[in-house]
Amino acid sequence: MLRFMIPRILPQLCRLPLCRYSAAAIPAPSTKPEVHYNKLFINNEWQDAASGKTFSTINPATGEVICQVAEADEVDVDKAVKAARNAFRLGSPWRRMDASDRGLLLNKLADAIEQNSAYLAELETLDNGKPYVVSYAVDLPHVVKCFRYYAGWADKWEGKTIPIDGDYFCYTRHEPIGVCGQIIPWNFPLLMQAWKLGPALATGNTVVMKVAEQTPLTALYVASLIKEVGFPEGVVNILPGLGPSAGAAIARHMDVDKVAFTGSTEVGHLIQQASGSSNLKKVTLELGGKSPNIILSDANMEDAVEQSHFALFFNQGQCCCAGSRTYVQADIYDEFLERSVERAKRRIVGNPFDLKTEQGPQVDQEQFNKILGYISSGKNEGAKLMCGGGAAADRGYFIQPTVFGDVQDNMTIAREEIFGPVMQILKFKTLEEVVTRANDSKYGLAAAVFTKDIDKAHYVSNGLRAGTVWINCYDVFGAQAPFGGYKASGNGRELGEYGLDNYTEVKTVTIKVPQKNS
Amino acid sequence: MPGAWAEVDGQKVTFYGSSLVDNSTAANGKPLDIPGASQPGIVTKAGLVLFGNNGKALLVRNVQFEDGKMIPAAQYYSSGSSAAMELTEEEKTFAEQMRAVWQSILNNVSKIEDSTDFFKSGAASMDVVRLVEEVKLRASSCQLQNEDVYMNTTFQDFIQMCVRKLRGEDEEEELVVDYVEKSINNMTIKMPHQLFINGEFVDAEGGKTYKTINPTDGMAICDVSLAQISDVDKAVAAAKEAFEEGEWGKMNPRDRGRLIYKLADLMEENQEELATIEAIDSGAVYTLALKTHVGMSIQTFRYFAGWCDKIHGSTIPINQARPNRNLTFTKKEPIGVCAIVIPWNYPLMMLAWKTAACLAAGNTVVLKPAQVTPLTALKFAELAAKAGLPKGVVNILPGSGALVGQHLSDHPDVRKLGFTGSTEIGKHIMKSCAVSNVKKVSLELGGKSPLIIFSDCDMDKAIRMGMSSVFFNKGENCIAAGRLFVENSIHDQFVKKVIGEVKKMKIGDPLDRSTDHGPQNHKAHLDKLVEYCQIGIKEGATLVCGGKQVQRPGFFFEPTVFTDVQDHMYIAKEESFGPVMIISKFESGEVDDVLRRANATEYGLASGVFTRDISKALYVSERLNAGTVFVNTYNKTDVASPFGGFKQSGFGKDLGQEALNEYLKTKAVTIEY
Repeated sequence: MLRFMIPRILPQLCRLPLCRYSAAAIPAPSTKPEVHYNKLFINNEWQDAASGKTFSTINPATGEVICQVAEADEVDVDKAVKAARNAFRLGSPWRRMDASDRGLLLNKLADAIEQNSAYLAELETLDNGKPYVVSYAVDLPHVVKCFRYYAGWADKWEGKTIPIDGDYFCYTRHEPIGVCGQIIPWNFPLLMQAWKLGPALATGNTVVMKVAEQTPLTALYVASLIKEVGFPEGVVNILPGLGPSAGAAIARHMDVDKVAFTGSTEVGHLIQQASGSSNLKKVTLELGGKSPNIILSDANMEDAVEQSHFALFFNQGQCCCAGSRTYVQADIYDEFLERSVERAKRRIVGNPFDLKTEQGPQVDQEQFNKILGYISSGKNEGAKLMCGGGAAADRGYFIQPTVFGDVQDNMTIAREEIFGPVMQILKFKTLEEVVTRANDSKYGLAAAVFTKDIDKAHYVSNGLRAGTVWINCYDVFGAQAPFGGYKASGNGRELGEYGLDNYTEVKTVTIKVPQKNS
Repeated sequence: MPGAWAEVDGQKVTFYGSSLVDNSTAANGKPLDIPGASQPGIVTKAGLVLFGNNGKALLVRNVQFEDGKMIPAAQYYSSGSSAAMELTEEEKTFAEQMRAVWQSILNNVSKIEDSTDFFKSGAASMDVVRLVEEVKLRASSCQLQNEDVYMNTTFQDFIQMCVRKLRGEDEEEELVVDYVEKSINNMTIKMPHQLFINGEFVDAEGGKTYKTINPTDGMAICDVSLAQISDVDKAVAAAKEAFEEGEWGKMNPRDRGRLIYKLADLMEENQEELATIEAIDSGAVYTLALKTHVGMSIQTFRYFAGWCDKIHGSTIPINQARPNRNLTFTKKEPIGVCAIVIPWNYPLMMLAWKTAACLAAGNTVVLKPAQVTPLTALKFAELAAKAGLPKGVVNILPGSGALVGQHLSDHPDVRKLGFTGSTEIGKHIMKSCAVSNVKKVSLELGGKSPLIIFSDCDMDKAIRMGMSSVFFNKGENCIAAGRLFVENSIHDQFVKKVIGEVKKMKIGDPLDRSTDHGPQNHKAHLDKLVEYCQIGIKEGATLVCGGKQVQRPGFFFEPTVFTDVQDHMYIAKEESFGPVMIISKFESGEVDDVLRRANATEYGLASGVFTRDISKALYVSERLNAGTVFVNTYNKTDVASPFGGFKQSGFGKDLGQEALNEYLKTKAVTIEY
């Protein structure tokens, strides 16, 4: 079944620039989609924040305010947790619901999202800045597939009966954990929401989700669909808000049973500490990366250049699994570097609603500044700036596609996550050497190797300490295949059957019997 | 021979999608001269028939000309000559939009003319996908297949094809059904009554038919096509082609799941009609048919639809061939063409239990419904076609077991046979499967399921469930409790209450909403039940009530209760498959003895126990030798829970994840590096 796991859209998209048809099958977008929801979604109702506070969400392509959004803080988190707890009480409609009916609801949600794909893609682009082509052709289909995939799991997540020693009968029940706090980032707002809600709801949990303050709008629209398709009240609660207030309140809440976080490793540390100092809630983390992408000299050059470009620059470089250390074997290094620079120069940066655009703005001013900071550190520490290096427009948060050559392992740009369109190309000689260097990182999220040689492919992929290894491809995701990090890139897995584990409490039931027989 | 070619009418023509056909079936059509062939080919409705020098015939579905244009071989003479349609204003706007799309794809062509050829202008397969999507965006009702683009390569042909589809004039898509219509149960039911082969309803060879009977009044409902040997061959060939060449075998599993979900939705939309057909064809009580026969069928398809993209192989840590290393992984692959032969007691549900798992695993299927209850299976075929299952994936052949069932068991191209029915026939099928090509087989056979009722049970519940364990669906239920063992101390009370309940049962027209008990499925079955009860009386069991046919038209049999049944008696050992309760006593406290008696049968399908004592419940459930044990309930089957028998009740499971294994084969791949 391996070949089925390759999603259709993504490989197409990575070849978009070659085929020059980035407008493939995309309806013309409205560049000013109407915003319908800007409040907190608690207990299936729209509410202002208790404090009455709001924050502005910004269109990163222009720097202009799109609208004001209610800002949740501790009081609102508390309210949402109460609603979620009530929805989870024994005997509640959600707890009494048949697993197959939970699956039906998730399928309906997928259908509703699919019907609203064009609008949601517009809103995503407006709020996040990613090219509309990508929102529509990558993010939305993956969201729909993720919900459908987990819909099917709802009635298939089976416990076991276990032959223990002695006169006992023993079995396990897979039960939901309870109230799950979920904190998601701004780089794939809808997709990260789907990755979190899919397994949590399929297994029967209730959710308090904090969405990123940069990109709250699409998640709130999905909240309206959640209500529309008939999820009972309190099962899903969605709170726009800031990390230090709302996010922290979830992480340290005494009545939240589990917290799942996707974001930076820095904040990941805080989340785990908050759990430790509150109620030891379960923690799953999907954090940063500095993923090595290894190009061997026998690789198909054209393909490797294009894939490596995609691996780094996709989504404005704002991918936790971005291939941000491109290791190239010495004998092809010069040609690879030259071609990569040429490719980066051809990258079309501009209005994300323009169907030709490959790269939109970074998400906000803070990221914009941080990336420019990394670029100057790269220059200062002696890396060779081959192209780009500055802002790409006089307004909005656009950054030129940037490539550094002659990057050394100890440079800041080779060690820290930049989360922007800045490519680091490094040279290596032998396989043993590159595996050691690739693993010399606190991160371990993803990795890739490009080679035609089946032996080398297996040698390198086995040696890499990373949660995902792509061979001759990059950023290939399937709802069926698990994703997550080694080391400081996090713990737990999302997607696939493995993703269900993180939302399940296993109860062992042992019954004394008079006499057991095999 | 995909990709073979010949010179025809002076140009090179390549053949695609060919299958061997029975020589005698190649009939009507217009001859086409093929240089070098022993005799001219024939352009028929199904395609181009070619004759080899060995006299064998080959059917070619599609032909491609040198310029890349592919047409259905059946249209060899008609295509190209058909006059272009006049477009309406709206269609002209659509055409101009599509011209712009072509222009944006073919950016090396300065202007898109009517004669511009998509592929000659540089388009590749990726562009086909885009074109299909672009059309869908502009006209959501026009869902092209990639093949449509390959077959209409010039701009004009392409537009004409789109417009034909938009106008709904597309012959390919249209399903022609010759319905038998009936106004009944406050609705009009429309019943297909022909064989369903390769996406079409067709007559059987020689136009053979038989009558299917409504057991409520003994009258014929309609004529149904009676499949013959050659029809089986056609259906198997269609299923084989659909698996090996068709879209089905290439589809992403999740897309396959989407189609099966859609099929479930369509069944739900048509559930009243399906339940009505089931009621008149099998005598099932309508309300029960709605909930169980049809309702559980829908759930079954939904459940298995979700499995499609979750059929995992594993990676396995084998010992390394040092100094090299190894990677071993398994893949679960569909088997190919599967045959399914099902009984008449739950006509649609038995179809669903097997077909859903079979399709979810990616196989294609030739299904024989019971000869006496073919109608819901044929209605299902119609819905499968409407859901968009590619042709050839599902084929339905009403016919006799001796002919159709036997030929499927013998067929060399069938690699798996799933059967539900009697143990006697199951043995015969297994033998045929072994002798022919060692096809994989799963058998869900008869039962004589024991139900043990202890004195510490919840009496009211035991009565209620005990009743349904026997009388549910007129006793035509393979897991029906064939013997009730009641603890001595409560025996008389139990019997008394049961008789009270039996008297309350309303016997009548299954379409009447208040009816509890409908007619037996068919006459032969009724006659057997009468005989069965007579043997019981003759051997000395006490007939407490019932035991004979109800005096009214149709095949009704009275709910019957026997007591004082001894282990050696015929009715204690043999399955009645009817509304006959067989009650035996056991001495108070003799748990092991009653277990011995309960297990003293060659069957092992289901069983039940009623007790409030948790230790006793677990002990008995452990000791009962049966595939299903119900504790303080009965007949509680669920799509997520595996179902199947021990001993001579067969092997292989329906339902649950385990059912998928019946329709998959595991391949282990080992790589050394």
